[in-house]
Amino acid sequence: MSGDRPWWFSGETPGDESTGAHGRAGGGGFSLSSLASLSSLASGAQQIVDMAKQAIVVPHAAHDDPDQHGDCIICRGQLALGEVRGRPGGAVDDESQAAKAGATVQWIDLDPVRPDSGVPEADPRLGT
Amino acid sequence: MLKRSRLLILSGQSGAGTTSAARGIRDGLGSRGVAATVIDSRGSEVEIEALVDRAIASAGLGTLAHELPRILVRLEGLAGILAVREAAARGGAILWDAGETGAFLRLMTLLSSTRSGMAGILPPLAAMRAAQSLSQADLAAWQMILGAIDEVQALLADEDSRILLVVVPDEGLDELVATRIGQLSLVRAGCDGILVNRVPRAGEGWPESWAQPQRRRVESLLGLGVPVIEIPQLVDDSPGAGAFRAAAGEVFDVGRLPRPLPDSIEERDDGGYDLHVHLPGVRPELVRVGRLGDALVTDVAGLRRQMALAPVLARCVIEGAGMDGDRLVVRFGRNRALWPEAS
Repeated sequence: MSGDRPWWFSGETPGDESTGAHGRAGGGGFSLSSLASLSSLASGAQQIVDMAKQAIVVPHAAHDDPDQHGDCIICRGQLALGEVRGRPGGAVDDESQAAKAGATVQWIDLDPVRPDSGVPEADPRLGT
Repeated sequence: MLKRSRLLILSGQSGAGTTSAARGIRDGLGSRGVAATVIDSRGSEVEIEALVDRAIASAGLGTLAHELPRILVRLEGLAGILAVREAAARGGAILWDAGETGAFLRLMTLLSSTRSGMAGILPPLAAMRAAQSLSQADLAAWQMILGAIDEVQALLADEDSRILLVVVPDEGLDELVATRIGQLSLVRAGCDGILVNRVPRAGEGWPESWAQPQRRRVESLLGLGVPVIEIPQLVDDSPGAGAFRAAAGEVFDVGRLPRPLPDSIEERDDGGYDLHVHLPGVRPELVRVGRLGDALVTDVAGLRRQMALAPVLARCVIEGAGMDGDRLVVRFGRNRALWPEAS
């Protein structure tokens, strides 16, 4: 079995204790060359973009003050943009204010929790 | 015993023993005649990172955009998705050692995200430019990743997949588990079982002043409505391999708990709308909800799900929201500026 061990395989098969985790050395490696033919390239590229958005934009949504989030690239971009725009007069223009507001979540105060709705119900199939 | 492929996803606290669990369960299933494969892709990011580097170079992306794809690489589960797809094609049971739950949840958020309605940051043109400049092999690799994401989404939704939390009975266990169950619910998944590792059993010589609080923490989980499987702390079994091996059958037979229902919209008599978001198992105090443009943001203990509002709701303002049992109900009223016929 070890001869065709895939790149992702971890651990040992029963009775084969000699191979370590991530057993890639003896396996086929992460082969990208033997892949399926191309199709729907445009939608694929769009999906990559959407994944990037999801990874960046959602965490950023809670960042009210870019100065406080140096690890967020959108905040860093806003600061850089603000610096360039602010050079002539130092005032923040309406457009950048609007852009900032558009990227901020408007949180809603939830109704008070009723006493009888605070405990999630157990799954009835568990029978206890 | 095994009728068709089953995917068991093991995720938990850092250091709780997901790797030991995966290997022990695999060995235990093997002794029962069930072929099982362990996957742990956490050593394979190098290849994916190289792929991303080539895409960045081909697209000529600037410094800011350069970091975007790298964030994708940091999503540890991306390689795991590829591995699960390959393993599923081989058949048999799959034990996915998904590691720390936070990273797994981020992956699930990504998988459950919609493809539209979000503010742009990286112009789609850049990605298209990258796609057009890449080699055939790299293009195929990207297509494989995207295809794998779709396939693993389908696998996760399959009746034969299970998600199991692996935890240890440390202080704060019930809070941790409640949070993780709520967050799994948020990403439209669920916790099918809790494996509590290293539980010191009574009468086995453990100091009671230390062991009893740990057993009480395990007992506190019993009211959550999720099966709890205790993995005993054994003196001569420090990695827990033997204990997990013994529990393999019980783990394998864990049932699949119902997944959250799809969101639904109800029109009220006053012309407004109620959006119902099913969040089973979520403690109300962990929930926040907000609006970001035409998207609704739901937050459970810091994990967020963003979904584009249906067109009818996008023309409304949010009037309020609250938990009603296991449902989040968001109340929308018509925005008169966008509903001229209503004024």
